[in-house]
Order: sequence, then structure tokens, then C-alpha cells
Amino acid sequence: MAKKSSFLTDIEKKLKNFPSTTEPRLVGEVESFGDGVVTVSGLDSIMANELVDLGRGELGLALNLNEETVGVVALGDAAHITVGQPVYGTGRLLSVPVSNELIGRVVDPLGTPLDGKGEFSIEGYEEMEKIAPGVMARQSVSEPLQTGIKAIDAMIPIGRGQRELIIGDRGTGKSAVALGTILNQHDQDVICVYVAIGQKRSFLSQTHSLLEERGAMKYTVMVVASASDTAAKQYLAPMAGTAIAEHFLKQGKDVLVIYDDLSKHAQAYREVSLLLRRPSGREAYPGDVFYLHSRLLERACRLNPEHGGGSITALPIIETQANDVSAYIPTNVISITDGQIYLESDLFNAGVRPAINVGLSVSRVGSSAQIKAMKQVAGPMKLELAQYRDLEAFSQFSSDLDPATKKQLARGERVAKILNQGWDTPLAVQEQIVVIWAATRGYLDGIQVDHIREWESGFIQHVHDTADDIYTSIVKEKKLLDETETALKKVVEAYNELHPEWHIAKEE
Amino acid sequence: MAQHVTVTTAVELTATQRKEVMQVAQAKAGTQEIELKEVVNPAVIGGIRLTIGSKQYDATVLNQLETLRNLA
Repeated sequence: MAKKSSFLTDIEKKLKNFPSTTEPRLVGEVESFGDGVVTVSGLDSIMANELVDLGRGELGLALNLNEETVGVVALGDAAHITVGQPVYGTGRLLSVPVSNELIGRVVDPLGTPLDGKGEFSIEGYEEMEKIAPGVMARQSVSEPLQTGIKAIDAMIPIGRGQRELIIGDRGTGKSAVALGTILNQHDQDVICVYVAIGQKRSFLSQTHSLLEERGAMKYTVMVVASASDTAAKQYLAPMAGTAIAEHFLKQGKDVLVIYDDLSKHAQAYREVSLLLRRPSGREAYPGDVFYLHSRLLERACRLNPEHGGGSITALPIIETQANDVSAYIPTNVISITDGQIYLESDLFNAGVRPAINVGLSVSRVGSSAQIKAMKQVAGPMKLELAQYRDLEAFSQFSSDLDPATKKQLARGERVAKILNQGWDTPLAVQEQIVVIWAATRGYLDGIQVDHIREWESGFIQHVHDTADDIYTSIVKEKKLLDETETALKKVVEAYNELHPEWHIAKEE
Repeated sequence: MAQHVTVTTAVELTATQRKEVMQVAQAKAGTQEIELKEVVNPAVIGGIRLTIGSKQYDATVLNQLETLRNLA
């Protein structure tokens, strides 16, 4: 009996919300439907970017407001639509439900969970299209965002609030750089939003299980519009991801957003625009595709303390065709962002991981965010590498080199070698610093090139075991003190003596 | 230009009902010039649906049932 009454009270509670009055609704009539675009008459007072109820739980987006008709893009497959059927305005501008419970979840651009873990409690709605924070709300980038990748953190440093483009051909490890960066945020107090646009579902499930396995889903939200979703959904995904990031930004948190990738986003927008019969421009992209990306990336920011002090760091990804960075979308996004990491297939095939072309990669604001200790070791390293590249080209002509040149080549080869790193093994900044320090100071010159990887992983562990205070000192002081360097010198010499098997055999 | 008004009911309106509907529609539309179109559709089960231009007042049983379903 008790059970039954609780069931009844449940129903009574729900019925309390039942509206007794009849509110007027905005209604329109479907005139035509094809290729995901619904032309509707009526809907007099609809707003641009308002969600439209297409019936059966399907939503559409009012994109074209003409004098007599409204162009609505269906967000689902909307196969049930018939000519003459009514559609209704929802009065809700394009927005995504947000909540702190989103962390660890996989959602589509409309906030519908895709991971089968049920609904999350909605704390509010965040608008997808929003004006970026103004000049007075911002402060300059001063905190580093550690990617855990030596080549990037040392030479192309990224700061919190920066927009750094990852660009390269297919299969050059663009997503790997982004995912490695997510993995490295485990102790950095950064919330990650991974926006997948037009990716294969197999890749997405692989990515999700990887992040789950490595414990990265504890601080990550995935916003997914896969290749089989409609172009309209793919077009919305980056905005939805940014809106979710802004929810955390409002709480003063640091957020990292990855857009994987914006070339597919531009293609989705092109499809939607062409179906809406908007005039097309270069490469058939609509005229406002630049504005679309600039207003999206402008929302990356670092707010000053009066505005909560949070930040949104954006890592957009662009896929090039045959290394052509001067195509339309790549040049657009290059000019919008604060620098780019350029990945090259030639380097990738030569075994360089990550396959970063150091010459073409830049970071325009990140160096002010780099910690001093990293600057101390990165400076000599860049010099060493530049000289190595010069000599390397030159040395191909002659085999007979003087000892000084040979030595420089050997040093450069080793420095270049330690920058090689598996994408799923991010290193803490203090670990990167001791390794780079050892390489640029010549402590690897006597080690065989083939053993450098073993040397490195062993050395990082060795410092942990025997002289952990070196790490603590770097983290605390944020620079290399003289006494730390002396201690480090002792440790590296002792370590080299431990492993004579890696040394180059001495010539008699 | 006369405002188009569509009234949908499950059964045909009686003369008095028609007169009342006209009065309500004129008040809601804010004009005396109204072109009333009557639709009889048993699928709405009961009640009345009034569509004035692109504004719709839906007091049919069908709509109430649908609202109920969306509540759950």
C-alpha cells in the first residue's frame, strides 16, 4: 500500500507542473524539405539562430530569415517531415545545457549524452554564439600550459589563454599532439574539452577508451559530432564545446579546448551554406567562413582577476592537403591564431616524433609564459639545433670533417634525438628540463645514439631515486639555481658511470 | 487585408460557438477583418485550436496529451 501511494505522489508531483493555461505558440508550415533544409512559411517573429521544434523530438535551427519564408536546418535526420506539417518556435536561442557533471561525459553538440551513462542534472543553458570577452576583461598570457612534449614546451611554448594551431597533413600525428596534451593535464588543474568534428566513430571510441584508461576522463568533456552526424551538427560542435568551456571559465577555472578539426568544420559550414543557397566564394566556401572561425577562436581568453581569472586555451587542428599551408582555410586559421605547430609528413616518415618542423612553427605569445628554468635550457638548445641543421646540410658534401665540426654534429644529433618522444608519454616540465640540460651540456656526447632513449628514461628515473630535491627545487624556484646545476652535474656523471654499456667505444 | 484565422475542432462548430470564436479571434488578432477557416479533424479528440497568422493557441486534448508526455 505504501509503495502505491509513493507512486501516486510521484505522479501528482509531475502533474503539478502541468500548464493549465494555453500559451500562444509561434507556428509555421513546412513548404518544402530536402537535403536537411526545411523551408517554412509563417514563423513571423522567429529569431536568427532560434531552435525550431520539428516534431518527434527533432530540432532545427533557423538560419535564413527571408521575407516570406524561413530556412531551417534540421539537426537530426528528420525523415518524418512532411509538407504542410506544423513546426513550432521554441523561443530558445541556440544553446547547450551545461553542468559540472559534464566532466567525464561524452555529449553531442546539443548536450545529449552519447555514452549511455544517463542524463546529467542541468545547471543552466549556455549560449553557443556569444560575443568574446572584451579588452578590459582580459589580461596577457603569463601562465604556461604544459603540453608535456619536450619539443613544444621548450621551443614553441603555449600559454594559458593562447590559441595555437596544430597543422599538418593527414597521418602526421596532429591528434596525437592534442591528446598527449590532454594526458599531461592530470596534475595541472586544467579542464579539457575535446571537440571532435567529422571524425570516424571507431577513432572516437578508441580515443575515449584511451582517455578513460589513462584516467584523463576525470577532467575531460568530449563533444562529438561524428562523420555520420548531419553537417548542421558538425557545424555546431565547436561552438557547443566553447560554450561548455565558458561554463567552467565563469567559475574561474583554466580550460583547454581542442577542435579536431576545423577543416572539417569549414566543410560542414560550406555544406550548410550551399544548401541554404548562400552565395559561395573561394573554394566554394561562404564569404563568412573567416568570420566564423575568428569569432570562435576569439573566445579563447585569459581573464583578469576581477573577472574570475580563468582562461580558455584553444588548440584548433587543421588538416592540409599535400603540405599546402597556403590553401584558403589553413591561411585563414593561421592568421587568426597566436602561432602554429607545423607537422610534416617527411619528418614523420623519417622517424621524428612529434614530426614538428621547427622552422615553420612559432608561438607568438607563449614565451612570456615559459618558466625561467625552461628558458635557461631552451636557449642553448635552440642554438645547438640551428647550428646542427646548418652543418648537417653542409656535411653531406664531404666526409672529411675536422674534429670540432664532428663534435658539433654529434652534439646536435643527440639534442635532436632527445626531442623525439612518444605522444602518450608526456613529461613533467622539471623532467624535461634536466634531460635538455644534460644534452646541451654535452653529457650525452659519449653515449651511442641508439641508446639515447634508454638513457633518457633511465636518467629521469635515476634523478627521482637519488636526487629528487633537484625536481622540487626546479618546481619551487621555477629556475635553475647554481647549486641545483652543481647537484645535477654530479648526478649525471654518476649515472653515466653506471652504464658503460651505452658508451661509444674509445678509440686508441 | 483580412487576417487569416484557422479554427480546428474535433466536431463541427455550432452557430453560437462560431460566433464566440469569431469574437475571440477578433480580439486576439486586434482587427475586425477576419477570414475564418474551419477545419474538422477528429484526431485532435476534443477542445479547440486557434491559429491566427503564425500564432497558435492550442487547447485541444491532443496537445494536452502531448504536453503530458513531454513532462515525464
